[in-house]
Amino acid sequence: MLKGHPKGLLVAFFANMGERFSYYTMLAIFVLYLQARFGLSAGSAGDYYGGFLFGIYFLPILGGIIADRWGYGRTITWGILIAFLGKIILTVPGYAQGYFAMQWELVIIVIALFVISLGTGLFKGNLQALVGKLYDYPEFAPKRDNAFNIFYMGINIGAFLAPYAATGAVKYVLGKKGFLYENSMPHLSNLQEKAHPFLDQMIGTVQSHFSGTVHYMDKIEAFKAQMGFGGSLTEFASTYTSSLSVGYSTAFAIAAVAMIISLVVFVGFKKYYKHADLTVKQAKEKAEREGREDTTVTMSKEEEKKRLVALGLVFITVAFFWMAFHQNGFTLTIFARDFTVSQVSSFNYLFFDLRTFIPILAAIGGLIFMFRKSSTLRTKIISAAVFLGGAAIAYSFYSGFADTKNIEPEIFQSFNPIFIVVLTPVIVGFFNWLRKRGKEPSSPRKIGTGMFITALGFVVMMLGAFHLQSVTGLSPYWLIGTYFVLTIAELFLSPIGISFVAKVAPPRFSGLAQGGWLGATAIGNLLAGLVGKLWDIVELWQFFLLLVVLTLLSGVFIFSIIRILENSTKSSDQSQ
Amino acid sequence: MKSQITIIASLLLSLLFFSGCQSETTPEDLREEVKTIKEIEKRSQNIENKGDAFDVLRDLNQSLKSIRDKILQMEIKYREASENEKKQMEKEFETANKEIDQSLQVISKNTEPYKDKEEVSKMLDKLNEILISK
Repeated sequence: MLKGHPKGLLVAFFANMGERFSYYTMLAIFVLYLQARFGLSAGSAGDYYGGFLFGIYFLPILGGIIADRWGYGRTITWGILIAFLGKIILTVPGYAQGYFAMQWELVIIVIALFVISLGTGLFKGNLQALVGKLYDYPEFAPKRDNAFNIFYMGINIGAFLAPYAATGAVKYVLGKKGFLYENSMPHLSNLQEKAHPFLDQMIGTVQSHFSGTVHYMDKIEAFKAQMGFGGSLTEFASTYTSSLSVGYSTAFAIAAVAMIISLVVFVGFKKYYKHADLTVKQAKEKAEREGREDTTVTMSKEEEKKRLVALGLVFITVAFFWMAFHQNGFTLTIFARDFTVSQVSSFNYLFFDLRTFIPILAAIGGLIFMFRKSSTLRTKIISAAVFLGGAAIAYSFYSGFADTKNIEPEIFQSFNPIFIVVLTPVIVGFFNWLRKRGKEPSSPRKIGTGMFITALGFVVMMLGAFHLQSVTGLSPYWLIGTYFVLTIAELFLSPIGISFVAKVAPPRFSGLAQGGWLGATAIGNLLAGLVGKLWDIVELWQFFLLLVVLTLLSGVFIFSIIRILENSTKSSDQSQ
Repeated sequence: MKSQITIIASLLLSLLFFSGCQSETTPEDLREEVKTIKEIEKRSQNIENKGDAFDVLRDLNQSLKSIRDKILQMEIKYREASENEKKQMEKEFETANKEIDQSLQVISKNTEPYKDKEEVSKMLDKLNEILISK
């Protein structure tokens, strides 16, 4: 998959993987941390989260403007350092409990979030711009789309591993104090601490008619007994939430360390991308210093304008993709909680447990390489070993499973990064196959097709919503199927979109254009929240139908301006 | 180009229109919720089979979830309220709670014959968690 690509791609891949691992480790527990440490309601914690996400995706525009003047590598390096500092600041309230008043701790959190957003703003879009510049050379230019598909896989490997690192750190810290990890505890402690009189009364009312309803105080009592805590209920609740805060801070510290790894990779292997790390002005100065002709493409104002209009049109449309796609952390998770069965058979659970799912994927991969015609004998032997090893590991865990197992709604979100990692080689292979036959679609056509595939994903959900009218809860395969289709759409759209931006952006606006792409994502996230508000107002099938219609219209729109978009990529190909 | 701009504008306008459906301010008492529970109570009187019982309990679960959220909002306001306002809120809550209590009694009685059916018992299990779930 990496054959014929510049080595700089690998440097960017690993630097990005480290940063994304760090970011998602922090994000996986951030809302839970705010609730545990500050007793915030889900709504208030969501406000901090929403503001932070907006900063993360909007500040790359500023980062791009800076890098287009100051240089990409230098801006990226500072971005990593600043984000590292932000994550260190984020650990302060948890590790220094009692040193600051609660409201000051919240101020520290807000400062940390701003610093992290700023660092990410300097890093994220500019690294994409730098990858694009690696492919500005004729020998690499045809592989630009593939390069971004590979680069995108790095993001998702980091994102996939992050939640496990975060919960692993929390479990480790709690385990040292003799506690188990129970993520509903902060919420329960919050209810107990604030002693909600109305809620208590209402629970009593429900309990009097429906036996078996559990009161939250009983639930805390049960956790206390389960963890063998000797003190009072209040002592247990406060000791537990305090230990939990330390656990969360440890996860933030891990996120900070990951930034250092990213920095070491990016700075240590500079020689592999140094040649491409030039702004238009720097390239000109370098050519003058070396006494040779400057080969950097210069464009007329009119050409620049034409390209910026093409980019703007794509940004607006792509915001609708992110609006639909980012329902994954919002309404699709609520759907998983409320309308999907919460228990599955041991066989189905194979796909919900990493200890079995990854070996199964490895075994399938082994099987494919074993029977592939082009595999050498050595590859076939290794593949057979991988197949047997994977199958044996999966079976050994499977044999220990109970007949039925509970699944948490959050677990569905891990399917997207898994599918990205698994499907990227397939999609890259598919496009390579088409290219060899001279039939590879242009980047704008891939983006438009991605929009249609997104609509298909929500058609699956719409059918599920109809089916739900006759059953208690839906099989998890409806959601898994939707995530599968949405991931294919994402692979057609997101990495290809970044590649399109790299290709079309006027050279002196490379960083700004990538920042614009991320800005479109920020707007998409805002729209996701806006559309999500309809969840409680309209019928389920109507909600999904709306997403189908919006994404279909966006796809139609892309194809209606396909000539404008293709012309802008053609003129960029000619200028390289 | 004009037609493309029209498509984009209509996409954005349709979004604003739909989100506008949410823009009216929600009252900070349980009146709406009581009304919904009363409607569910009325429906529970016409239960003919386990499917009907399941539907009634599913909608009850959803309503209790809204009640939980509304109560938590009310309590934030309650903490900051003056003594007079507190008394008023307590009175309003008492009235709402009493009405909900009566409706729950009827719903519970009407769904009783179907409680051992798998689908219905699963819904009842969900109800167990509903008020304290995240």
